[in-house]
Amino acid sequence: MKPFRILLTVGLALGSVGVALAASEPGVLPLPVASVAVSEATDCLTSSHPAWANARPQALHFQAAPPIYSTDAHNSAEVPDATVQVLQLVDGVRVMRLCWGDATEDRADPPSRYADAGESHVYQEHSERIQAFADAACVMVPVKRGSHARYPSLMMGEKTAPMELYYWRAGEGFRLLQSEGRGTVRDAEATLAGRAVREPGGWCVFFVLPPLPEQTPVALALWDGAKEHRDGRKYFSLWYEVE
Amino acid sequence: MSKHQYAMVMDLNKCIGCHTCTMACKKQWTDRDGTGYMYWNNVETQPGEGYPRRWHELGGGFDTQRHLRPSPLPALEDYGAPFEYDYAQRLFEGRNKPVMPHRPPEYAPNWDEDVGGWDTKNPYYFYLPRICNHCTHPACLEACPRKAIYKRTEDGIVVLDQDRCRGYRYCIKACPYKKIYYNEVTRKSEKCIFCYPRLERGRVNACAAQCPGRIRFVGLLDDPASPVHQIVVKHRVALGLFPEKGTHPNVYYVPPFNPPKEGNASRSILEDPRLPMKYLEFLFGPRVVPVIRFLEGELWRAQSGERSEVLQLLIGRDERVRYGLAPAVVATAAPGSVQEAARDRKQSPDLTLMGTPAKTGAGSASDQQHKAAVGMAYPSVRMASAFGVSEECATLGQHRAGACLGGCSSCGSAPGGLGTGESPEEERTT
Repeated sequence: MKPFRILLTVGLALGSVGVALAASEPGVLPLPVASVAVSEATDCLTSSHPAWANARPQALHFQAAPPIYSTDAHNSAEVPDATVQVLQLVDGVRVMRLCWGDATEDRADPPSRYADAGESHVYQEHSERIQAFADAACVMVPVKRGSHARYPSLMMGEKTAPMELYYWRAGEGFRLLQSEGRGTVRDAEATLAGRAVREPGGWCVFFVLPPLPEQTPVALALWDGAKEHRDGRKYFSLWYEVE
Repeated sequence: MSKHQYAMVMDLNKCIGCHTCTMACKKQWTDRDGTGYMYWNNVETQPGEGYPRRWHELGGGFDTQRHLRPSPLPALEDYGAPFEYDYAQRLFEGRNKPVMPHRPPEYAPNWDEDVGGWDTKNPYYFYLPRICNHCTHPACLEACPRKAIYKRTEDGIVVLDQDRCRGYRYCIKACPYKKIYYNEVTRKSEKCIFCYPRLERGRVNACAAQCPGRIRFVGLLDDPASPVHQIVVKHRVALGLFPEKGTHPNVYYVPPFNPPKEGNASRSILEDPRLPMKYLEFLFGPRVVPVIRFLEGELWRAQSGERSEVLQLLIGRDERVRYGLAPAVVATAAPGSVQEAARDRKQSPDLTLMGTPAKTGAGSASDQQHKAAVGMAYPSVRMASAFGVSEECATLGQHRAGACLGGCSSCGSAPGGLGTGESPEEERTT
C-alpha cells in the first residue's frame, strides 16, 4: 500500500501543478463543455431541459466598445452580467445557452402594414421605427477550427483568419454571417437553428453550433438596442477556448 | 477625387412652392414600400421647422477641426408619419363616415407652410426646395464604417451602395442636411441619387424637368459653358446652404431678395429688405449681402434698358439655357475597368476611435464594389439585368452613357443600349 500511496500523492501533486499551470497560462479563458446523451439539438432549446443541469455556467466578461465619435459619451463601466453554458451532443453538435441582463426588450420586428392596405395603396409596408435598434448577440468562431498559435483579430477576424458569425437579432431571428476583417461582414445566406427567450430583466438565447474541436477560440458580442448599439458599438468578449 | 461635378442652382426668387418637384421625385424614386415618409426632394417654408423638424438645429457636418459632429437620429414623428384616407368606406361601402386621416397627424413635411416669421410688424417667408447636396466633402461618406457611400468618379454624384449598406445609420447622424433616409423594409438607408440614370441618358433630373417656375439649373460645375458654372463660379450669385457645416454642398441657391416691400420701389432692397438679412446670412453665410447688392444692381441696369448677362441667364427661358448636361463628357470619365474603379473610388477614411480621420487606403475590387462603382448602386436601376444588357458590357460604360454603338460581343444588344425609357422592374434588396 505504501508505494501506492506514494504514487497517488505524486500523481495528485503533478495533476495539481498541471491544473495550476493551465490556469495561469496567459490569455486562455476556458469555455467548459458538458457532454450529454442527447441527439436532437432542438430538444435542448429550452432552459427546462435536464441536460442544462449538467452544464456548469461560465460567467462571461464583456467590455464596452470605445466611443466612435468625439461627441459620443464615454461608455460607463457598466456591462451586462452574462453567463454561458455549452452542451456537446452525441453527434458533436454544440448547443450554447447565452444569458445576459438587458432591462429593455428592443426588437426589429417586420415593418407595419396598414390594416386596410389593399391593392390600390401605393405603399403596403411602412417605415415606422426608423431610429430604433434591436438587441442582438453573436458567437464568432474562426473558420479554421482547433487551436491557434496566435488568436485572430477580435475585429471580425482578418483576411488570413476568416470568421463565421452565428448572429441573432431580436425580431429577425438567426443568421449565419461571414467576415474577414472590419467592414467585411456579409450574409452567408443560411438560416440557423436557435431560440431566443425574453426573461425578466434579460435574454436567454440558444445557439446551435457545429462541432468545435477542443481549443477552438470563440468570442461573443452583445448589442443593446436601447443604447443604439450596432456595428462595432457593442459589448464584446475576449477569446474563450472550447474545452 | 471626382473628375467632374454635377451641381444644381435653384433661384429662390422664382420658387412658388407648388411642390411639383416633390411629386416628380416621389413618383420617380420613392413609391416603394418603406419609402412613404421619404421626400428626397422637399420644399419647406423658411423660416420654419423644416423636414425633418428643426433639422438645422440637430447637428451633423464637421467642426473646425474636421471632426464629425453626429446628431441624434430623427424619429418618424419628426419627418411626419404618413397617413392614409379611407375613401372606400364613403364612396363604395356606404358607411358615410367623414374622410379623415387614419391617425391624427402631429407633424408633416410641409406642416408650417406659409407661416414664416415676423420682422417687427411684417411677416415674411420664402420657399426653400432641398435635395441631397452631393457635397464635395460628404459627412455621410466619412461616417460610414462599411464604405457603402461613395462619390462617383465621373460626375461627383454621391450614391449609397445598397449591397454594402447594413442600416447602421451613422450617415443619417452625420449629414447636416438630414437628406439620407432609413428604409425599415429593406433595413438600408437611401438618398437622392441626382437622377444619375436620367443624366447618363441626357435627361435632366426629374425635379428640374417638372418645375413650372423654371428655377433649377443643372450642369457640370467645372464646365465653363454650363449655366451652373456661370452662375456659381463666373457671376458668383449662388450660395450653398449652411457653408459652416464644412461639407461643401454642390446645390446652390440664388438668395431670395425680390420683390421689395410695397412702397419701396425706389429704394434699395438692402435699406428695408422684405426678408431680414440676418436670417439670410444665417442660411447662406456672410456673402449673401454682397450677392444681393450685386443682383440688385443688375436689376437696375436691366430696368434702365441695359442688358444684364446674369439676369438673362437667371430668367432661364428654356432648357438650353438652364441645363448643361454632358453625358458624353461624363462617360469618358467613368471608370473603364474594375481596377480603375477601385483605385478612383473615393474611400472613406478609417476613423480612429475619437473620430479623427486616419490616412486613407484603397479598397479591394470585390464583385459588389465593382457593381457599385459602375453606378448600379440603387436597386431600381440595376440597368444591366433590367435591360437585358450583359454585365460585362455595362462595365465598360457603353450602355451607361447611352452611347452603345451595338455589336458588343458581350451581349449583342441593339445600339443605344439603355432601353426604351420604361422603368425597370424593381428588385427588392433584402
